[in-house]
Amino acid sequence: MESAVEAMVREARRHRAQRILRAVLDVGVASGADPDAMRFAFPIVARGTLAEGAELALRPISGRELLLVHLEMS
Amino acid sequence: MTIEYRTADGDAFRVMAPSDTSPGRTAVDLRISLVEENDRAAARLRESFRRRGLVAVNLVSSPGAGKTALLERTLDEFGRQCPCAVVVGDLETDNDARRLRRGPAPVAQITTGSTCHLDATMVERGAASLDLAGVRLLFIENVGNLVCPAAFDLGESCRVVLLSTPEGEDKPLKYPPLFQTASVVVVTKMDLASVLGWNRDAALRNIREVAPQVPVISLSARLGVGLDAWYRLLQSLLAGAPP
Repeated sequence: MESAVEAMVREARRHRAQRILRAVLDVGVASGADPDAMRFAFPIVARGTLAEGAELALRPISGRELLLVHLEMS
Repeated sequence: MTIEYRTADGDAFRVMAPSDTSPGRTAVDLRISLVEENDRAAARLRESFRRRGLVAVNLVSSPGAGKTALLERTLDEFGRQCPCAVVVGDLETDNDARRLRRGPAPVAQITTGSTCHLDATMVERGAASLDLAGVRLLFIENVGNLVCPAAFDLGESCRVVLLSTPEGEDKPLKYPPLFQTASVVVVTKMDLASVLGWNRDAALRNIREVAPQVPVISLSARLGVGLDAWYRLLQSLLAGAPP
């Protein structure tokens, strides 16, 4: 989850955003990442970052990729 | 309007440019791979292990399943004939490294802070801090966690998933991704099995359900029972990696 939040924050900074509102991740079913665990970990890892309070949407995809595909910020 | 970015590998990807006129809300479509970075570092590690003739073994389990106890005994016994080293990860403290440093094997402790797993760049840093001259077997003791470590390749030749008898029989069903990526499952604390009423058949059935082919070794590091099968496994890994 740390790498996901880092990538979100990096993108948000690039766009000079103050706050991340919503992030969408594509989670490969063979990636080893567990969507429930990610939902649980996200608010903990995001605390104190631009991603704090953001909504996290996870979309299952085939394969082992884990991709940040969409970001909404203000 | 779209903007094209390039990754370090030169792959192009396009994102929607933010609109300057949006009322305070910016939305961008991206395609940023979160596994790529770790996979590149893991490939570097695997190549450097191969060049050194070094076998890396990644030990993963819940906290308290007995990774450190198994390593203590392994360093004492197997380590006598085979030079070993250890990289051990925990959120805080160097308690495990201190337990493992009683013998001659070099040990690096990585404290990960809030991170719930080791990633390949942490292992690169940990391994770089050790004198690996002559070392044949590098144990990587992962952070105690049955979820996140599944997704992080550490350049290892063998991923050992430990399941201790006090955890019960159904962990493989609850945390299938980790057991599916195991090269071998080691059932630990067998000395407690009878007092716990631990059901060996049920545990094996659950392991087989998520990982039908995976070899299973049962042992007690405390009593030294079943360790010969574990040492035979380590020996066979070394035989497959000439120095």
